[in-house]
Amino acid sequence: MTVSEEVEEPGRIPDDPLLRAEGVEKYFESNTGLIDSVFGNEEYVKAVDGVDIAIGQEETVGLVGESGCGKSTLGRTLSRLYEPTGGTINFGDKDVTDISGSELRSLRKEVQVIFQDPLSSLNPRKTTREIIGKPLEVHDLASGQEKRERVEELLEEVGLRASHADRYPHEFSGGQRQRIGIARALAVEPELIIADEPVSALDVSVQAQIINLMKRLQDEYGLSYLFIAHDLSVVKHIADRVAVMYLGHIVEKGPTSAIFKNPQHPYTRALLRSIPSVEGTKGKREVLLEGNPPSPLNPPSGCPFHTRCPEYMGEECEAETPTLKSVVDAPGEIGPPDGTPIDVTGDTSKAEHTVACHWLEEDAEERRSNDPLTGD
Amino acid sequence: MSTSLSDIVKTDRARIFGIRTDLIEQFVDTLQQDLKAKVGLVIVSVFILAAIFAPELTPYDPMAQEYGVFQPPTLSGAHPLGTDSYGRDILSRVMYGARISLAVGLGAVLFGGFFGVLIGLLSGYYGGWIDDVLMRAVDVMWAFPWLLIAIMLVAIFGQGFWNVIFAVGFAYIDDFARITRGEVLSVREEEYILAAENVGLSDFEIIFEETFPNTVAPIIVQFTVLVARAMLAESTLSFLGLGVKPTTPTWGAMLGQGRTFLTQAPWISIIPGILIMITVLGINLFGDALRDAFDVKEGDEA
Amino acid sequence: MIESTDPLLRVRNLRTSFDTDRGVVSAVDGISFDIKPGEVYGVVGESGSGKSVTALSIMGLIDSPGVVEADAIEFRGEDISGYSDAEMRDIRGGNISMVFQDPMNSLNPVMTVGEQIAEVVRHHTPVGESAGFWRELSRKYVTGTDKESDSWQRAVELLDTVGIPDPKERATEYPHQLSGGMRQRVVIAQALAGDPDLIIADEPTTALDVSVEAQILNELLELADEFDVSVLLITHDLAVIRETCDRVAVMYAGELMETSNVQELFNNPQHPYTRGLLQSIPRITDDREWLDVIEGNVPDLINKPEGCPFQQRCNYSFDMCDKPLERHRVSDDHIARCHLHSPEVDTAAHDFDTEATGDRSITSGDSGIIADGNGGDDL
Repeated sequence: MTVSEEVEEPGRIPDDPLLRAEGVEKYFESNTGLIDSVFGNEEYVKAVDGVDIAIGQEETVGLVGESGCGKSTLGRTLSRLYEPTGGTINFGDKDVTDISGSELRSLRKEVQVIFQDPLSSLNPRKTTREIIGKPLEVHDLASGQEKRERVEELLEEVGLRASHADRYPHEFSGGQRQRIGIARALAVEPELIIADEPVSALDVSVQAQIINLMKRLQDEYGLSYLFIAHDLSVVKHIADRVAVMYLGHIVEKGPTSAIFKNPQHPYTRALLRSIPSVEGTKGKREVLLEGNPPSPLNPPSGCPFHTRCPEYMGEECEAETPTLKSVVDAPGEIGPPDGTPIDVTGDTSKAEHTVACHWLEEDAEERRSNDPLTGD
Repeated sequence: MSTSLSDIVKTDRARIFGIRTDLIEQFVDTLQQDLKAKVGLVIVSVFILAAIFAPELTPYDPMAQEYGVFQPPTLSGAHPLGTDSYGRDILSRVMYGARISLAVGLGAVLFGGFFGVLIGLLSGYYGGWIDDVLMRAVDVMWAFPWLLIAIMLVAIFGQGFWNVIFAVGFAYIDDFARITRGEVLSVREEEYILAAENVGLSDFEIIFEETFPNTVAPIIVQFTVLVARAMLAESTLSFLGLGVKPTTPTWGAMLGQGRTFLTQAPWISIIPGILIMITVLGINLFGDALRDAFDVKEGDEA
Repeated sequence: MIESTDPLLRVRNLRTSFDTDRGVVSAVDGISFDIKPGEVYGVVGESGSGKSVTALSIMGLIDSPGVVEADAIEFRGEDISGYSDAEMRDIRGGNISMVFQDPMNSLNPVMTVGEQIAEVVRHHTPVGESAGFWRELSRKYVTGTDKESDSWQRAVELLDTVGIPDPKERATEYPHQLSGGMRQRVVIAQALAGDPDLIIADEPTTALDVSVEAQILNELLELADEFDVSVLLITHDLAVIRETCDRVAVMYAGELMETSNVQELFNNPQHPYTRGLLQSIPRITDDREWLDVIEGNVPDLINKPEGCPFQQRCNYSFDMCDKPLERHRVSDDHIARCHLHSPEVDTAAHDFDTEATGDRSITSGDSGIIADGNGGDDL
């Protein structure tokens, strides 16, 4: 279990990350009236509540969670589309937490966002040429004839044709629109792309096209991705590391193989189980997660997941918020849900696998007997 | 329940079949199908043409008092719409009156529209205290009856063409501000605004290049509706003697001057009255058609 | 009285087209299928495949400029394709109800959920309460439904059945006070209120999170069983089909490409499109570096190619593909519309392994092709 391996290995937390965020918080003021704010009775929606995350050079970090867990907000905060309420964000060796004006503008050249809804994220009254040409213009990268050529080059790069440049967004299919969104992000040759559910609104066969496209572009341009999704199986195909988010907190993170083969947090385990599959024998999914996530306006005390946890163990869960702890040497580490033992000895990536759950300090045997997932 | 289902199908259809719906196509479509729109368009065109070509078309000088007073309208006679108490030709006067009505109508709405849209854009885009300050100011404007403001403004600055435009237009700032703000609030939620920010556009560019073009549809509709209202307002002011110079022929002034002779020579008042009614109706029909044309959200999912 | 083996819904050669400025869009192009009583029948397809239009056509919900033609749309042995509006109104919400993707579309935001369900109950079941226009109007805006009345009791009961806690309380709440999953349950309760024989569910869980999706699907299946209702489930998600349906039809560009019982479709897909679709799904159990993709896009429905609509994207296309498609029976309950299955074609010569199972085709599909498809081939 040596951590000091020399070889670059997928899933290792980079020593010198491209983006490092610590304790990031983003609160939204909920609709309180003037009177309330005068008396200091504002209520806050804690969309992101103290998140640490790092993204390395040419690395893809997957961020998953159900709708409303704060994953999109985190993505937008990291890209500085939203102003963080707390914490620090470093890009390269620069603190970008509070920058504004021209500094912020130059950050936009390094960090780009791809949005979920390809129709909504393209201005319906602009042609493809205007949409993709705008970033070139804003950052003084190209103009005139050069800009024309660059736009056409970008279109071809993402699998569209140069002749598409003068069409409006509504003339394209969903997948083609998302390609335009990718071309726009690519135009400034950024280092990091934050992809906010880029394939969720697309058909399956098109999803695969877009995922492959993003992987190819990553290889070609040496991009880093923060890939946000609600679909674990999509993330598995593209991410080197995965962070699972619930109600504004990251509850588990680690190398992709560790998260999928040896998930430790009850939420991750239940989520993995609730993914519908096209394989194996037909059968209904077990419902492991009852009800809906609680409102972030009034989050539960202690562990945010305790209200829905299938492995709820009592007062401790409600009293104290668990922090992310390494799985290494954790007495409560439990095997994968299907019971197959996995060999993780010598797997350096295991050290990077951290989980926020009180069970980790308990006895694995006891946990197993209490666990609805290991049963069958 | 069945009605709500068919509603769904209506709203969903464009999305399901990817039927292309362009704003202009829609408008042309509506014009073609909609009798209402056609009638509106004809009325508005006749009115505008009459106003523009009044000097060429009018048979007499509208100010000349030389044709014998109180001649009733005779379609075959020298004065098809009769003459008024000073012996002026009513047909010529209403055609020149159309010019004033049109100028005041357009001018007032352009004035109100410019400031209203600006306030709406800033207020809607920035929100927060800017929104509070601007919209409360607009609320205050709204709380005063427009006629009172108009009377006050005319009392301070005196009668005259520009003062009437200013007085009438002032009252429309709040309409435009409210409509634009509402529209901006919904456009602001669209991801392409965030995408523009992500590209690195400044606030100014986002407001005027990205937001404004997507809010114009309802503003244009409001524009037509308010032109009709402004013409009525001008008539009201003129009727009260607060309009453009008393001798200038305007519909409202003619209506007002004719009321003393309502029993002997009712046509003096009735003719401009009917014209006001028809024109306002025409513009409203046209505005309705515009509203229908812009109503459907464009180009949904294929 | 119909025999239990007779189909509940029998659709023959359904064609729905829309006359647009650009030409005639054939959204549904000659499809036929049967739904047996008590069956959960799935229609799966990508967006633009015409699966939703199929449902709307059956329900008589296509208005001008859409034109619906069919040799037959028989519901319990009776052809409903020529029904008048009033007759269809009785069918909709009564014999056949629908559940849509977005529950807010099927719920009135200014009526309490109990009120909405009770209204459907009064319209379609014999509770002995007037459902006349004026009576309903005064209920809606003045009095509200009597909390002691049968229709209200039934509404509360239905809310309880679909798994809503405190149904009495919830019945008096408005749709916006409920979560997405709860709203969809309310819509299902509303769909059940008319005591239907068939529920058409159009992407009922697409807007929901996976965990909530599992809850809703399970609920829907249990209720279908309990109330003896057939379900026509329309979705883009093969995994949802697999865990809920008995039989399934794969739809592409307005046509049915393959129909089969579910087990066989997944174990032994026989149409190249179905295989492509299955392979392009990312899954948590495989370690493919590159996903397999179906190149290109769905063809333009205005100028559809002659013959098979999938030919341009198909890896197996050959000279017969532009001939009109025929239905080829692969096994008892499995039909594929693909010339590869035509008796005079030697399937092996086209490299098409008719024995391929779903699992095998996945592993063999990992050929390492770096394909992200060309997004610009149609339009």
